[in-house]
Parts: sequence; C-alpha cells; structure tokens
Amino acid sequence: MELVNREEKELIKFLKKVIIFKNVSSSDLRHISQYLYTRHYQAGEEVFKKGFPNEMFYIVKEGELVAYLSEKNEEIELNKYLPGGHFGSIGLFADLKRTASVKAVEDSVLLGISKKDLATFVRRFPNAGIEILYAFGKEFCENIITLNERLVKH
Amino acid sequence: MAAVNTRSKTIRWIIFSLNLLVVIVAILFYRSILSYLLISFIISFLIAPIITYLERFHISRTISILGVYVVIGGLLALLIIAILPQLIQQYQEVQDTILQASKEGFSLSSLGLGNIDRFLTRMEQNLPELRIREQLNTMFSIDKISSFLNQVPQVFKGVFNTIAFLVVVPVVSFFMLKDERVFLRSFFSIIGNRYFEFSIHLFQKIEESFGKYLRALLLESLMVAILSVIGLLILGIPYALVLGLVVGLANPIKYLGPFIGAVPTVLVILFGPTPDIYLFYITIMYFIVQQIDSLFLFPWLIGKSMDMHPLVVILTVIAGGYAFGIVGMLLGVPVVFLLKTILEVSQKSLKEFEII
Repeated sequence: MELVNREEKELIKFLKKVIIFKNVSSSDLRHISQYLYTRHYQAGEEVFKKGFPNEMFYIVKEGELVAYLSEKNEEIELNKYLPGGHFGSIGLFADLKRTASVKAVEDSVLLGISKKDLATFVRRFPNAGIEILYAFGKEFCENIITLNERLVKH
Repeated sequence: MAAVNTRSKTIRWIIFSLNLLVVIVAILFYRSILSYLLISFIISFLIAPIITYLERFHISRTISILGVYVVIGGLLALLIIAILPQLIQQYQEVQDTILQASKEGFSLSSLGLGNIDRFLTRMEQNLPELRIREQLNTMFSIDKISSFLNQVPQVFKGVFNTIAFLVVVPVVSFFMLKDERVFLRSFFSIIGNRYFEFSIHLFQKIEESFGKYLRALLLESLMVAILSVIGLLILGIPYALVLGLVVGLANPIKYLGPFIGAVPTVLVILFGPTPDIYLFYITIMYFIVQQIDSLFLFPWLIGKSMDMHPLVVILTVIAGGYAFGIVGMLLGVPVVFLLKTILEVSQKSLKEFEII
C-alpha cells in the first residue's frame, strides 16, 4: 500500500510539470491519473502509424520519440517528443485519422489516455477540464504563430 | 541470429502456455464462485453509471458506493417486509390452483373448451393411431408442470438463502466498482503494444453499444412490469403483483415474451374464481401495455442501439429456447448482439490498425 502511494505521489509530481495540466489541482490530477495507461516502448518500436484511428493521447514520461512521415522510402522527421511533451492532441479535437507516424528513438515510457476517457473526465470535472482545454488552445495558438513565422522566413 | 530468434520464440510459447495453464487452474480453483463473480460483475456494471455520475460532485467512489448500497439495502428491506410474504403466498396459491386443476385431470372441458374436447373425441374415434389425447396428457402431465413450478422457487431459495451469496456478492461488487479503473488498467497492461490501441477501441465500442443496450433493456422490462401490475390491479385480477412481475421478466424475450409472460395470467383466470370474460379484458390490457412498450418505451430506450434484423432476432429466440430453455430465450439475443458487436467492430478496426 505504501509503495502504491509513493508511486502515485511520484506520478502526480510528474503530471504537475506537464504543460497541459499546469493549472489543474492535485486532487483532480489524482482523478486523471486513474485514467492513464502506462506503456513501455523499446527503441525503434512504433507507437502508431499514419492513417490509424485516433484512439489515444500520449504524454512522454521517459525517453525520446519522433513523429515522421514516410515518403518514397524516406522518412521526413516532423517533431521530437521529450519527457513532459505530448502527442496525439489533434485527434482529441478533429475527427481525423493519425496525421503522422510516431516511433520511439530510445526506450520510452508513455502515459496514454483514451480520447473517450479524456472527454468523460472533462465533463465530470469541469474545473479541471476548462484548464486542460485552455492549455490545449494556448498551445495550438503558439503552434500557428510559429508556423506563420516559418512561412514568412521562407 | 536465426537461432536466437527461434529460441526466443520457443521461450515465448512456453511462457504463453504457462500463462494459459495458470488461467485454467485459476478457473478450476474458483469455479464454485464463478457465478457469484458473474452476478457481482452484472450488479457493478448496472450501478457503475450512478457512481460515475456522483463523482462529478466530488463525492469519493467509496462513499457513493456505500450510499447506493444503503439505498438499495433499504429498498430491499422494504420489499422483503412489505411484499415478499405476499409474493410467496401468491406464488404458492397460483401453484396450488394449477396443480389442483391438473390433478383433477387436465381435460380440455375443465378449461371451458368443451367443443374442442368433443372434436378430439371424434378425431380419436376416426384416427386412433394418432393417440392425440395421450400426447396432450404427456404434454400437460402433472410431473412436468409441478417440476417446472417447483424449479422457480428453488432458484430463489438457492440464490437468496445462501449466506455466502449475501456476503460475497456485495463485497466483490464493492471492489469492482471502487477499483474499476485499477482493474481496467491492469487488464490492458498485459496487452502488447501492437494490439493496445485496438483493444481499447474494441472495449469502448462494446461498452458503448452493448452496455447501453443492456441497461435500457432492464429499464424497459421494469417499466413493462410496473404497467402490467397497474393494469392487473385495475382489472382486479388476483395475484396482480406476481403475474405482473412475470410479464416484466419475460419482456426481454423479443416477440414471444409477451405471450409467454401472459400464460400465468391466463391460467389464473381459467382456474381461479375470476369470470372467463376477463380473458378478453386482460388480452386488451396486455395489448395496450405491449403497444405502449413497442411505440414509446422501446424506441425511446433502446431504439437504434440494437440493429439486428427481426428475422435474426426471432430465430435466435427460438434457437436459444431449444438449446437452453427459458434462460436461452432470455439471454440468446443479448449474447448474439454482443458477439455481433465484437465481430463488426473488430473486422473494421483490425484492418484500420493494420493487424490483418
């Protein structure tokens, strides 16, 4: 029992550092930790491929992963994910298939929550839900600004 | 390299077989309480939405489960104090009436169907090799009827009188409800990465369509039972409570259920003091209840969540009846619907996840 508590405390300490959960209270983080599946991936192992249904949203706990597109036997790297980072957020909001493939570069540990469970959580704990949705909104805006700046440079 | 691969494959097979062995041994070891586990699972499955809803108000799961237990316990206590003695008495009276009648000779004239009786006598004289009466008598033999009638309270006795049942089921359901997420997480943690997202997808689809269907079916049957009891009370039929409950119990059997459920009422009117004209009234009453059910309750509660062709449904009910009797008729359609959901979802998403 003691061990479980320590593990839970450690997990919540980690979640507090995740940008999506920045303003979520500890008690709500404890609730959301109930929905998180811990997954282990070996270096080189694929998490999902482009075109798969959007089922899970992942937070990187340990390791390193990349998002990439395969074109003509060539892999175009799109993004790198490090501990505290996350991927799969497009699927939470848009009804699309996976827009890119993701694989582990190092041995990695991911925390996954299903699209449906996150939606349930947001409805069940609206206070925490608002904070999470705002954090996503903020991040999407920042991504648009970065993309615009890149566009101007080119 | 190849040697290493075959070796790791062999090891994997050995581990898999060992796991399978453990599962089989566990099932054998726990087999005597498997039915308890199943009932606990169904109970927690039905209560789960309430607990999840209460969580919204920051009420901890433990407290809301205990709260629901107190409410259910209170209702059960009320039911036992107020209804059970009456129910048992009513049931025994129904049983006695039917047995009495069948002991007196289950002749058709006692059913007030003298014309058919005369017709049968004529048939017998003309075609003695058919032995119609003999067959009818075996169909309605006392042994069969009484053994069937005895079975029903036996089930209740067996289930409700066991102290173990009363202790084990609430405790197991409590933990299933409280640690629902823990069980789910440990279940999915044994599934490999390749099949993880697929299995989550499958699980959620089943929970979505089948879970909704099962809960709606129970609610629908409860409402049909209540409507039938009200109708029977208005008509002043004796044993209204037990007869209405039977109608509700038979309701999940599609198409045939209303007829099966009405049989005890018909028997009570035929053998009891109620004038036979009430057969006509209860036919109208059950017809109205069935219309309310099929026009309002079914579309409202179940609606499109169960998309099986009527022909498949009726064939399933009949096949279930042949294979497992009344239980088969009751569970046939839900089980086939569950399998259909699993097959449909996996066929579609196994391709999407590039597993096949």
